Amino acid sequence: MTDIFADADDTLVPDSLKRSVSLLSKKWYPAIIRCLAMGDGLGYSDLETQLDSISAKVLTDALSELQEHGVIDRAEVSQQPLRVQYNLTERGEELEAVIQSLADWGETHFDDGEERVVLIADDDSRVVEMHETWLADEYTVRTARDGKETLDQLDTDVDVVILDRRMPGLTGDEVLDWVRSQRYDTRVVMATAEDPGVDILEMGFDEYLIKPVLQDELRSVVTELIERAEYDEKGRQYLALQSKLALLAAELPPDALADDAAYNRYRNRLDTLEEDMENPPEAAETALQQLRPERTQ
Amino acid sequence: MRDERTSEGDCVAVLLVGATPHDARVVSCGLKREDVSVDVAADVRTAIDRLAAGSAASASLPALVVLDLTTNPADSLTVLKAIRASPRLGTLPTVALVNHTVPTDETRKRVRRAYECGVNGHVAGADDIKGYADAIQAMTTFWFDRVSVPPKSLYLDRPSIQYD
Repeated sequence: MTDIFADADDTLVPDSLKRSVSLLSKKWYPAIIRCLAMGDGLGYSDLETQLDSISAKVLTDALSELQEHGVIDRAEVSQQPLRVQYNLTERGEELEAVIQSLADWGETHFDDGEERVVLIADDDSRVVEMHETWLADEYTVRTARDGKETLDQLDTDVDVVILDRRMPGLTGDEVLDWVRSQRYDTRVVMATAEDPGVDILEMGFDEYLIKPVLQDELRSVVTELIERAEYDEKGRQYLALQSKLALLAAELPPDALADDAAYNRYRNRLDTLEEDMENPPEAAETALQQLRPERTQ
Repeated sequence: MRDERTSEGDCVAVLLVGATPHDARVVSCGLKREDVSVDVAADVRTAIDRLAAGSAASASLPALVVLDLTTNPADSLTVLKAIRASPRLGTLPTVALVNHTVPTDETRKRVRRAYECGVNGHVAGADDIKGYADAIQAMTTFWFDRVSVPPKSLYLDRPSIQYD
């Protein structure tokens, strides 16, 4: 075993951790486990083909060690000619899940080479310039002074759009509708001097900032939205809705909200989404039903 | 496109972007056929609203977007760029127009710009209004009777060949 843990205390680094890390850090082991997780029972030669440059000896040794640890399981499918299949055991599937988590973690935290693009759209040049200064050290910033320029600057590279709600030509609301209807995988912050009303619940933005926006506020919202890219559609909907409801609760008198049909409908939807996120099975449809406003009135 | 139409009487929609009322009349005249309906969006905002609404109700997207670059080329190009950059409408067929009143050099510049933004074809360089209308008519015939466009399923949620 490598000495990555040096002489660390046993309670800090128990034997169990040392042994599992040692298993995962062996050349080819994670690859073999992932191959078996994807295939439904693979033979020796299947593995050899998929793991292009592995030598026969290394593969044989790896398979027998993984068997010893009960991670994989060897079954003779036929005797004559001898055909053997390898599968992940239940234990092996658990390990594969750990490998997947490691891969996800790496994807989130090691991709600092990837540039994040923020588009700032506001008809007030001073606001654009100020926001640009605040963000330019961390992100690639594009700017637009009206709705049309926003469209010109928008493409699939944009991670976050900071949209002024009132812009000439095309308003922020209209640009937002465009972004959503075209299925851009882009988070949108609506920035405005107006106080929010219950109508924001129907709008497809992710966050709402009331102008004037402070530097820390803007930076933390952008960071937060870039992290939201990791969530699936449902997770983002949940977080966006949570922000809107929190904003309304902070801005509007409680009595008015208690009686508001839309507000209550969306509160229920948030609860549904929340339950749904704790138990992944698809209660999404019920949640969507609740979202749909009654069109009768 | 002809192959996708299922029966007589089906109508395809054309969205005409950026034409002045006068130009819109000339262009509509050239586009005129029983099976083509023309929807005029004079400015960027209207065009974007139409396309956004059409994307929400899949079947109501136009079969062809015609971009008039005669009067306000920048606006029509904005719409073209927005279509091409969209994850949803990237393959929507588009044609650019420049009428007979625009000088040749300027026409060339605009057409070139349109191709840089991803337009699929253009009509320009007519000598007079009649020549222009005829050219549009020829383009319409070509576009609706000869061309096989990418299947709508490329930009719709569900594969669908129904036109409203």
